[in-house]
Amino acid sequence: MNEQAERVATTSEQQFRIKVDSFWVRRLRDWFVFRYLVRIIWMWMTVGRRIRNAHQEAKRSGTIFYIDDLMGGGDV
Amino acid sequence: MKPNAPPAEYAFAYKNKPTSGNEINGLGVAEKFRPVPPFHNSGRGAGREEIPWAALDTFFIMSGPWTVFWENVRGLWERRNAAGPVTRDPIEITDPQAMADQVKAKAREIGIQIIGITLYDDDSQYRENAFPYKYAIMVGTVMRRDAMVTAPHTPAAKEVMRGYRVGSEHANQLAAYIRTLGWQAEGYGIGEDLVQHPMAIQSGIGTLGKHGSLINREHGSNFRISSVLTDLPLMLDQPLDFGAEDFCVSCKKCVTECPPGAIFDTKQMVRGDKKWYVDFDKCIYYFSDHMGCSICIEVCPWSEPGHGPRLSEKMLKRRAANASAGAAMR
Repeated sequence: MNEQAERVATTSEQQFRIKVDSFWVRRLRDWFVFRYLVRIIWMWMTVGRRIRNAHQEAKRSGTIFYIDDLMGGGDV
Repeated sequence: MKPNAPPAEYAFAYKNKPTSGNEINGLGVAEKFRPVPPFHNSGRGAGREEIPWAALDTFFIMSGPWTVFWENVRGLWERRNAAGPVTRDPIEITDPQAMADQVKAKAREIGIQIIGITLYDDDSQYRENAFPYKYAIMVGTVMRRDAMVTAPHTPAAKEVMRGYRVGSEHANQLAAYIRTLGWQAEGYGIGEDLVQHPMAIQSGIGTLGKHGSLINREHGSNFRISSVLTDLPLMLDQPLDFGAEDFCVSCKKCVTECPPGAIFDTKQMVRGDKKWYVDFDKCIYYFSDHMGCSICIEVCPWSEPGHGPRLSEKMLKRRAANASAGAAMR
């Protein structure tokens, strides 16, 4: 679990952290981040809506909403 | 239990429960090992599928109201400013104390209220994600008390997310300033791959409270942490003992107010250290059902504005009196 492996850039570094002094490289990064944010907003509006509705319905009916059913889960 | 807090009853569950978060965190394990994120984390290059409780994390993010989610989105957009080019040759540093003072003065100008400097610690990372820096500047962003008293409801959740976003902005602005001095620096905010608590304690901005969050002498637990990692040589701050530790031993406020009863009243063995610990498996369902909850940090007596310094004075006086009584007995 704790072996010191070779350094791997994190997701956050890959997506957001640009150290190059180039206007266009930074704008391209902004475009990718923008696209990523549009995607998660879309997810909130679609997948999120299904989750919120299923959760509310479970509350109303006194049943249990299994989060695995919508999103997968448990150990992978 | 806090009067306006809903009970710990849930209309959602896992069919196939992930490995216990307490097991992942090393509860009851005397051997030291590096922490592994069971829940929030942006993930390594391999992605979020590595996070055992990712489905509940997704439920947490997606089930909240738009106002809370939108603050999260704004915080992610701010991450673009975390790193950047160093624009000149590094200025020569002959006096790390003067440099630390200069950085802290700049931090105050930016609006940072809590700041401490420590060494970047190799243990302050999840698994093999080493960061190539020597120093960590720990930044605390104070949250609005009027919003936090509404915990576990939407205004508090929104304020927490705002605190993280503003903390990221502050850290990024300070990092940008350091880069203008010719030294590499990067800002780190919410959900990144850095374990910030141990360094925050070492930097003197707070001590670990019974509720598993930091307690700052002036602001209690009413703040969020962000950080700047840099190579700029700086004089280090030291951990601060202001009596919160003694206070937590006798105070049970967070323990009794926590709806799922997740807060241990005594220290637990966690990854080789005896420390305050919150039962992950009990906390996380309530946390996810109520937008991050925050009851424990809100009800902490140190979080009441103006109380911290008075409590600190009282606890330190009591300790000194006990010490002199003990000496007299001997």
